[in-house]
Amino acid sequence: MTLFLGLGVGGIALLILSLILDGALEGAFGGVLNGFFDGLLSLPVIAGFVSMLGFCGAIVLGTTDLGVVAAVAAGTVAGAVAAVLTWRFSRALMRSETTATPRGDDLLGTSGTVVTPIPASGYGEVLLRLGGQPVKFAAKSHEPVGYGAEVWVEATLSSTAVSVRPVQR
Amino acid sequence: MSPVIIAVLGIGVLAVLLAVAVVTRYKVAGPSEAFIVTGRRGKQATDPETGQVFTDNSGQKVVVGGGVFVVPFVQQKFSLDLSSRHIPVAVRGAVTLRGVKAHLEGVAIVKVGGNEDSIRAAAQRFLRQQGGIVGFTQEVLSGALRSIVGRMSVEDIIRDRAAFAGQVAEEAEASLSGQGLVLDAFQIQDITTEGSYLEDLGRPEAARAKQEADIAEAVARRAAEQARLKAEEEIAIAQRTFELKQAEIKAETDEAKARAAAAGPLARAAREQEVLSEQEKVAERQAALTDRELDTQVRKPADAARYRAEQEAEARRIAQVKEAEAEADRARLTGEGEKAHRAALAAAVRIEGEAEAAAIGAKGAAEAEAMHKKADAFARYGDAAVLQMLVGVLPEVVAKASEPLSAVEKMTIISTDGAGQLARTVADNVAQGVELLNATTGVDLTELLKKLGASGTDGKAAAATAAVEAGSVTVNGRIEVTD
Repeated sequence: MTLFLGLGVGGIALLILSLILDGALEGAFGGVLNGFFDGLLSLPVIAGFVSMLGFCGAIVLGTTDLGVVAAVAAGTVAGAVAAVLTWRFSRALMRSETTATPRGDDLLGTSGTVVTPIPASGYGEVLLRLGGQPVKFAAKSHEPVGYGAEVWVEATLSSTAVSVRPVQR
Repeated sequence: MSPVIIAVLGIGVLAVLLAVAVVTRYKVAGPSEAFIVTGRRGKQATDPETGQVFTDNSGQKVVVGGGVFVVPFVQQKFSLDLSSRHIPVAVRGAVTLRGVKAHLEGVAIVKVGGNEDSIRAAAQRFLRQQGGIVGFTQEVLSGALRSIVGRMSVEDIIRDRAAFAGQVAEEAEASLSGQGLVLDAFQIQDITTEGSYLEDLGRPEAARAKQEADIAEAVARRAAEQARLKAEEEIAIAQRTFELKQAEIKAETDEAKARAAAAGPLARAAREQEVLSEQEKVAERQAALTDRELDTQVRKPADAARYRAEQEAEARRIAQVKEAEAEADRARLTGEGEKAHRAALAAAVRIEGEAEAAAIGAKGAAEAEAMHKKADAFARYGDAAVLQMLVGVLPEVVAKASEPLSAVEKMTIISTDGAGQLARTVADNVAQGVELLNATTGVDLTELLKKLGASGTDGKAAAATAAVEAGSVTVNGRIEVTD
């Protein structure tokens, strides 16, 4: 009985420690295992398994007369369930990431307007929409483009400069 | 406490802690924040052109404005601030295209670029020294500005924004883009030149503007003044009209007021006149009444009285006339009788008078004869007779003179001359008596006596005079005696 409760409390203590130390315990504990199971044996999963085993064993032992073996079996099943739930929750969060950060290559083919006239040689400025937000880029063109003209991006020269050509309809 | 309850509570706590432990692994980046999560291994990739096999950096995640699950210990999360940085840029003594030295002050707004490439580049350079972005960029931009100014004239810097922006973009491409920084804006705040280049640049325009302003001001002032004068003129005209109107109205009202004011007295006067006329009528009537009353009370009785008096007077007059006539008749008759009587009496008196006159005449003639004879006799007596008569008188005179002394009982004579004085006093009394006689009667006894001594031949005339004077002593009156 005391052993089961000890397991349960020990698992909770482990979790609290991991929260407080924020990753340091994982480094010491499951760093080796992590690679194999892709987070399946991470600290919360293990702690949850142990703690749930202890508490469920204690409940079974305290409420029924089935004996220690039965209690261990029930505790192991419950602990496995808790561990799997925790792991799946982690995986779900890991995969539910926001849309990818915009890249320069995304600009290719988008259209924009000229906010500073583009001379024949040298830079003007165009306003493009990148990832749903307006961004101003320095722009070059083969021919002069006047203010307000609509342009297509035909190449990205750098992270802040593009090459454009006026839209021809 | 039952171990079962402890276990149940423990399960609850465990569930909460498990959830917390998992959720805290999930990090969320703010909108102006980029997370760089490192630790994963990149994927194997093959360069399509060169055929070279390399590991890309997909293990290094860049997250902007989203959440990421950070596997503890294996992965590490770094954040990069994407917000704008305000960078003042100042350049002193930059040489412009035409050699004019200019001082410029500008401001640049710089941020870490928002796309993945920029964030990776910036993270490599500035992750641990994000505060250094400002200083670094400031220096780079100062140099860039200096080189930009060197390629442009002052006028172009001021006026040609597009050209300036193009130059700035070129410089930024060369210096900032490679570091993941984006130059959001770059503006010149202030530009000054050494000397008075800028001022001179503006002077013609300033002069022209001033000229135009002066002209416009003058024109405006003229217009304003004209408008003001016109307005004042109109005001004056309106004022005049108003005052004329006012005067007219005042005259009318005054007239009306005067009429109204006069109406009262006029009405009153009319009423008074009516009253007076009525009173006059009353008075007339009263006068008539009084007249009649007087007529009846006074005149008639007076007439009656007068008539009676007249009648009485007439009666009296007639009576008196009759009486006078009777009297006259009687007087006439009496007078005639008296006349006859007086005539007879007068005749008698005349006859009597004539008889008496004859008698007196005869008597007078006889007396005159006697007197004449007497006078002759006196003339023959002369002064001797007179003196005798006087001497006969003198004792009486002396007696009279000494009469005061005889009244003296005792006489004490106080005199240096002795008792001889008494005789002298008596003599004085006599002299005084003579003087007294002279004064009282005018008879100068002394003279008379002297004349007696002296006369002898002329005695006749002197005797006559003395006789006359003696006569005056005895006879109180002067009788003219003529021969």
